Formats: sequence, structure tokens, C-alpha cells
Amino acid sequence: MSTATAAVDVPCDPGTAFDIFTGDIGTWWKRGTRYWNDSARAVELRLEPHVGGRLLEVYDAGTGEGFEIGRVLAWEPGKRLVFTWRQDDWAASEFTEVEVRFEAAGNGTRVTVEHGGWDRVPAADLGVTDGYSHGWQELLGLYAQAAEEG
Amino acid sequence: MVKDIDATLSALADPTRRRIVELLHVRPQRAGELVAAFDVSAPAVSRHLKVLRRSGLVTDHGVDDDARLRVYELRQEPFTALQAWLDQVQAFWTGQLGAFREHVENISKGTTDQR
Repeated sequence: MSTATAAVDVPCDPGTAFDIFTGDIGTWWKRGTRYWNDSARAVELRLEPHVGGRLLEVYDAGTGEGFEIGRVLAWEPGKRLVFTWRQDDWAASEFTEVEVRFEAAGNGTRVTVEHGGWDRVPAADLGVTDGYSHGWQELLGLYAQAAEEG
Repeated sequence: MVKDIDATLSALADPTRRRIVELLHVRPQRAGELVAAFDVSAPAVSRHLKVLRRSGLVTDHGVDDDARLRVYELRQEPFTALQAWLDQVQAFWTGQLGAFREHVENISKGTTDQR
């Protein structure tokens, strides 16, 4: 019910797609989004390649250590990857779950992400309140601008 | 509005209540019909319905020919608000997957160039 889904097609086989997704996550992961826990300190993302491995937002390039976003629950090369996901301002017991599936589609692979478990995290911690007020502020700013130009 | 989202997420943090919401998503139902769909007792279902009603996820109304019967149905507003939150999460992953595809395409191009 409370699951967000996104998908993309990539021009390689599922095994390669899985390897690039996990092994190169430090390279392709989008920078500068508000979803970094600490975008000022974050160097890259790092995923330890086994069940129980950590997904880290790396702050120290030398040691490779940083904030632990989550842990790998399922590691099935070429098929499926599941890991937990939390933000640094959530209580330690609160986490959501991300499942990534790799399925052959035509000459390539369809990669599907399902991010669920949001009903386990109190809304206050999700920053929903901030998100909404921020959104409205932006809209009202645009409106004010349009009004001025009009 | 924001208060609603808070209530929505805590109300949904229970498997029985999530199941009730799924059943009501199919069609509005009487409390008795909902009880029949669960192993739990009628008072337990009643308690869950109370939570769902208080949080604004469901509403109940009487039936014309029998005032004692209450029919429960979902309210759209809280689910719209929850969807707005999920849309943000979805936009995040769509952006990330777009970056992933770009990276894969660059790699495939690189491999071709080397040949």
C-alpha cells in the first residue's frame, strides 16, 4: 500500500546490470539531492557486497566509513537486491525497505525499485511537515513573482 | 492536512488495519462483514475501526432501512496526502535510476570505443 515504485530499462544483461548497480553505486548515485543525509560531507555511496553488508554514505574517503543507511537483506546477483533504508534523523529502530529487481526485457534489463515500509516510520520524522510547507512556500513565491510581473 | 498524514501513517502501522483498508478499498462494507473476514474477535475489529475512523481514513454512515447498521467506507483525502509523499520518494528513485542508466550507457559506449 505505502510503496513507491520506479523502473528503468538499461542496455545490458541482468547480471551486468546488477554488478554495475551495486559495484558502481559510488559513481552513478546522484549528487546534491536533498536525500543525502549530509551532502556537505558525503563523498560517495558504498555497498558491501553480501547479505548483512552495509550501505554507507561515506564521509571519510580514506577509511570508507560514514553513515550507515542500511543493511543488505537479500543479495541475489543478476536477480534481486534488498536492503534496509533509514535517515540519520530517524530513531535507530525505524527503517524502511528497498527492493531492487533485475529482469530481462527485450535486449536489456528492466530495473525496478520498490521502496516500502513507510507506515513504520512516524510521519513527523519523514519531514512531511517540512516538505509540505516548503512546497507551498515555493508555489507562493512563484505566484508572487507572476503577480508582480503581471 | 499535515495532521492527517501523521494520523494516516500511524493508523496504517498495524497489519489488521491495513487489511481492513484493503477490504474497504474493494467496496464499502458493514462491520459484520469485516468481522467475518478476520480471525480476530468482533470487539477487536471494532477497536481497529475506531482508530481508522478517528484518524480520518474511514467514515461510517447508517443504512436507510436500518439505523442500527453502520456501513464503513474509505475517505479519499488522507490517501491523496499519503500518495503525495510517496510521489516524492518515487521522484527520488526515478532520478537515481535515470543516473544509473546514463552510467550504464556510458560504460557500454566505452566498451565499444575500446574495440
